[in-house]
Amino acid sequence: MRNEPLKGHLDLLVLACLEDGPRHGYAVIEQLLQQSNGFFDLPEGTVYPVLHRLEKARLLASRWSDSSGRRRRVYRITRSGTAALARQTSQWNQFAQAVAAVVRVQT
Amino acid sequence: MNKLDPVRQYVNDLASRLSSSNKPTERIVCEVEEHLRQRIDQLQTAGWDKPQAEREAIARFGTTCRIADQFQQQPPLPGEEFIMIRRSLSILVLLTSAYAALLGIFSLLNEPTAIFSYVKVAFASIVVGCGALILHWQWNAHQLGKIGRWTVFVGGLSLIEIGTANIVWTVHLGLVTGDWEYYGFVGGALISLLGGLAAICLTFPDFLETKHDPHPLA
Repeated sequence: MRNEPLKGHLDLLVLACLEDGPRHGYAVIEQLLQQSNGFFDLPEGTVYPVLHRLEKARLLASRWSDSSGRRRRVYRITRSGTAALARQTSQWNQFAQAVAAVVRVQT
Repeated sequence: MNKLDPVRQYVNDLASRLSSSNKPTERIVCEVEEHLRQRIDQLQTAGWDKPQAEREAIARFGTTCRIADQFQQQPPLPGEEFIMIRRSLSILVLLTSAYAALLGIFSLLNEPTAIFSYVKVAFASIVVGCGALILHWQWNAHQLGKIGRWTVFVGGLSLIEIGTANIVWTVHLGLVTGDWEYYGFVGGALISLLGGLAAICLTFPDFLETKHDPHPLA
């Protein structure tokens, strides 16, 4: 379990998981786990407070869905959410490149 | 309902921890229960027996104490308060514009030939126009370059002037004729309030920042 590095980035990761289309919380967690090759194996309940907070900030919208006999809350990214995701992705790329450059020089 | 069902016990415990907060407990509980049931199904499909699957699903989800804390302690995103201010401003714009438009139309219908009616219509048009300017600026971030901050600021000041003039004129009429037209006070106050709020908002760098970047993530 690697929760520490996630602090401050979970909002971004959740938004990224929803970029391709609407998903419910369970699917968001599954995607986080699969796309990170098991690195983000965080407590599954952690993602729900994030989903609710992002929805409150209008970065996500949600509705109930009864598909496949299960009543699920499905989340989708809003236009504001897409803009925030693009901005944060750009900032993250710059940060990651800068760190990688420094670390490479020192090793 | 089976009282010994561990999933029910878990969500009931979570609900009791959330009940003291203003969070939408029922919705959270529904989502959590559905998540746990789906995880249990998935584990059972993978060969786990039901009691094991239930324990594992709950363990993976995290303790109720931790989840409830995360719901209750989540900090607001930067700029969230400005969303509320923008909404209030928009409601005020709609209210004021509707009020001004109604007064203008009413005057025109009642005294279609009076010069004063045309003056009222002209002022009502300015109020509605300034309102539209503020609304447009507020909700169209990509249009910001076309309608700059200072244009909107001048619109706000214009509304303050019109609103104040409306109140002064109503007082003057009341003193001279003895006919106190209270709708004039209401309209003037609304217009001034709208103009003042719009102008004040534009002086706060944080409000402008959230205009450009309404949802910066921490």
